[in-house]
Amino acid sequence: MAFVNMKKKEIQVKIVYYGPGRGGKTTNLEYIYGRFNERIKTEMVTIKTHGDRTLFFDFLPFDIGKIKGYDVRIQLYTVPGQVKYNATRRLVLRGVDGIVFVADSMAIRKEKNILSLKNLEENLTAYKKSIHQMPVVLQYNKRDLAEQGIPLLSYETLEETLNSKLKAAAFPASAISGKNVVTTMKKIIALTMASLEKQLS
Amino acid sequence: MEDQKNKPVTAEVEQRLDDIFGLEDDDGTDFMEDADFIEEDTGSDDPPSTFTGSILDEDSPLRDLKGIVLSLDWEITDENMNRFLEEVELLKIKFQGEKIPRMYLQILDSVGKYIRKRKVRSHPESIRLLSSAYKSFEKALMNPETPKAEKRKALYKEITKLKLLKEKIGREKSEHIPPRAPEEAPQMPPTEPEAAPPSTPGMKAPVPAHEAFAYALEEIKQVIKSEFQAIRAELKLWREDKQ
Repeated sequence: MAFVNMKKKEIQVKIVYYGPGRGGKTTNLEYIYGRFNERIKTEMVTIKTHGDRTLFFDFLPFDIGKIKGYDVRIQLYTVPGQVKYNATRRLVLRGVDGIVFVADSMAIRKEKNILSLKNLEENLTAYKKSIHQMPVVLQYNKRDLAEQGIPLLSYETLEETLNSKLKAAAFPASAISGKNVVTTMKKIIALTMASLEKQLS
Repeated sequence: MEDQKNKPVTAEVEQRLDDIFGLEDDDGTDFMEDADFIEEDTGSDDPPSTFTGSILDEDSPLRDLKGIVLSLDWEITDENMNRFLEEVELLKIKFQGEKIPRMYLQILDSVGKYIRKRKVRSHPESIRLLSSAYKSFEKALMNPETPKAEKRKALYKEITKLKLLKEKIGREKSEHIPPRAPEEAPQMPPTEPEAAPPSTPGMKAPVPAHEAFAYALEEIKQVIKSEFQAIRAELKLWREDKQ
């Protein structure tokens, strides 16, 4: 569960963007940082390889002010999507409060999405958490690629493949253009805060 | 996953997030940006209004809109806001060639969209503006004998109100943005052990940005170190196999 300092009335919420490699997790955070940097007044930490891939994680913290009398600080993390970095992914998931699963809408990535979601479930199990019992939002990214004639999985297919059991909120998105990036983030924060309130009450 | 009991906190969080990130739909259009339409269009002449009857007449163009506006006094719901905006769209087509009615409709459309999105969280003045803009629109339309200059003056009044409201909301929004937390802020203890974020010896959580960077570097060092250890072990095994 999140960090809660009852004495100082502070809450720290950890949200992790999870998903297959090259799916757009970092792009989500970069969009938020690039567009709202002036407002959220923070720094984004990102460590990439020479090939522009996330090596460890991206980290974007910001304050949203007082909620129910508590100062709330949101921390957005991404995990490296590449299969070989599972230890890092598991580490980043430690203490997670909410998850955005960024799926790649490209038809050729169907299998990778499924494997990544399965991997998320497994890694959560290591912390005795169930994906079905925590706030999750699905984002079907790269919808803009349809304009370039790239075959994409339909929204229905993505729902059926990834969300038939989860039944989580899902948004078609384009992280590169920002479409539904903020909507996704707002949704996961709202769900996570609601879940935390439930746990604390 | 959403619980009805959680509604209040959700509403508070949503409001705060709207204050910080705006009400945009992620396509670059911010709240009431279309309200800037107004000045460029007010100078030209207006053809005469096409309706001269009573508001209650069956062929009155405002009959339905008035009913919806009155219902908004009772309750603002998705349903009646959608009906309101649909009716405004229909009237926009009807008054396509008439500048004053069209601009009134743009005001109603702009404020209506804002209220639909914010619902109970709408700025109180937005509801008042919707009502006054409608009344002024009705007056302009149902009194064809009123001099055009007077109608324009009334329209400008509503436009000014809209602009002031837009500024006010913008100001209040920026005032609500929380100040940056000091980087040296005291750290909060976790409520339970598993709440800790990735931890490294010597590092405390929660981590401010610069600490996160140092922490990440430390982790990478650890990863590289363990990789080398594994390679060394494998080389050792390989050598032993060869011997």
